[in-house]
Amino acid sequence: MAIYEIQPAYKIYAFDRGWRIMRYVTEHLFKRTDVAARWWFNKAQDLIRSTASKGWFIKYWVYVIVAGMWLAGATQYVSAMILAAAFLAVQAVVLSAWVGVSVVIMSLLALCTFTYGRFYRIFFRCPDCHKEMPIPTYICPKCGTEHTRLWPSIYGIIKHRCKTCDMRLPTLGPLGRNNINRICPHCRRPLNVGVGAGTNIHIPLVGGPSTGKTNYIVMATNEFKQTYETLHHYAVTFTDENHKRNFEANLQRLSHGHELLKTPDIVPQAYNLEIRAPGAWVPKFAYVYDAAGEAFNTNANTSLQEYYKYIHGVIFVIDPFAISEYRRLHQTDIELVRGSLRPSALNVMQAYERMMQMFEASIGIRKGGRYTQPIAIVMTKVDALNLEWEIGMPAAQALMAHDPSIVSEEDAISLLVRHFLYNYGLGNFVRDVESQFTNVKYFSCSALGRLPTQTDTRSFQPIRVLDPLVWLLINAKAIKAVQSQARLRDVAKPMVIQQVQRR
Amino acid sequence: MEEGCAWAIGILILVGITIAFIVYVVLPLSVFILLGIGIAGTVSGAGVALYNFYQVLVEAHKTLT
Repeated sequence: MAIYEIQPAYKIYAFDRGWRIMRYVTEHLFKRTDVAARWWFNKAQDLIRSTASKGWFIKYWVYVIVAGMWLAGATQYVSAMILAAAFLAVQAVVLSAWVGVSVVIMSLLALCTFTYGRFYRIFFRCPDCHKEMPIPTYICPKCGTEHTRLWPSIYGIIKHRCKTCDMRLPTLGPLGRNNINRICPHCRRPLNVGVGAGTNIHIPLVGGPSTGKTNYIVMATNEFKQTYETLHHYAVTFTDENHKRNFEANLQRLSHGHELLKTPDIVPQAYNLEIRAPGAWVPKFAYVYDAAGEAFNTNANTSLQEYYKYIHGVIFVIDPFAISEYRRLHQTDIELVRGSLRPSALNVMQAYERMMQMFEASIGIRKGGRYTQPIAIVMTKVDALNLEWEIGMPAAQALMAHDPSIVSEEDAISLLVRHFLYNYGLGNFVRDVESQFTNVKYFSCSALGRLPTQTDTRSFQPIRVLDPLVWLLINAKAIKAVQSQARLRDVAKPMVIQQVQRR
Repeated sequence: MEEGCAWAIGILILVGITIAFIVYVVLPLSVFILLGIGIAGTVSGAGVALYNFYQVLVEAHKTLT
């Protein structure tokens, strides 16, 4: 990372022009003085020449006058020298003091910005190419010139003056830098206003093709937005207009009973969500990565998921119909609704192993230790084949009635899903994930709430999609736990019960 | 003898007058002229230098960006 780069801007007077002016003045002042002094010397010479034939008495007085002229000429140099010396001394002192003060202010601003950024975990990361940058490239609003280091520097402490159009560009966010368009210096795509303005939270969705990742995250985000804005007075906003438009289009499709189109991107564009708690000084800025399931089909595709080095938690999506043992036992039932179910073709363990390869490559192998990032294991499509009665709310309530030590429905579902995975031959997966991660929780949900069919255009009603996302955001410290628990008591429970009853 | 003394005294008076003329008239006048021109030149030179300095300074700020 180069802290200093030549900018298309004028440097501060004390760092460049002031010193060049000193040299210019000394050079040009003596040139001009020389001209003025030579006038006197030439006049004296002319006088001597014109009186060469005169008598000694005249010559004496001429020489007296000539001596005076020589004195006058010589003193021109002395005056110029005194002026130049005084100017150089004063200018050098002023410029040195100016440089000193500027460097101190720059260092303080850099230190404050760095400390603030590290304290709040604010980084500039591109949602498209996933690369981190010290600062985005800012585009001059007047002439379009690119400024790659628009921060307090020798080009200006609070403003840089563009060399192309003379426009003054603020160097700090609070002074208006955030309003200037910027691009990623690596992929040159525009960066939305939220990038670098909040605490970064990176959450990828992992799972094979057709596990329902996109349906899940759209429904979960929508429910999260509605619940937290209405009940807890959070502000949950899309900072990128395109993300917002796509999200709304997806919601529109789902509200008409149409499934979402398959995600085409092997390397996904993260969609950004700004989450601001009431009274929070700095918002949280979530990057949600929804890669196509094919990203986990091959090692080569998985290795392209560069964002793993930043992640704060994982939503690992499992399609129960991709579990071999379950599929074998329920083959007849599955075949009846295969078209609507669209079971994922990728084995759960394969997706998991590829995810772990990326973890090890990006974060490193934890010898003896475990990854601290929370991982939510989410079993989707529980609306089908009566899975709700096996790993859903009714089963959880039955388990709680049977075992009073289980205090919440969320914990009961976590136990049920864990047992489900054990029972259907994924004990190795459960053991491995629990040995690799310190914080694991199991969830069951349905993003659509029913099987999608061509003829049914009723809106999809999701079941428990919020729980995994909220749990992950709490563990990533993006939202407050107390409020979340209140939400689960007040909102999710009646809603889910209502949905189960409707089924 | 008396005539010779008168000549000598006359010559001495002339030499004295000449020296006095040189010392009290020619030399002060020479110095006055020399310094007069010198001081005038110095003053004008200082003025010119100051003006030149101002012009160069303005020119430098206009030329150098």
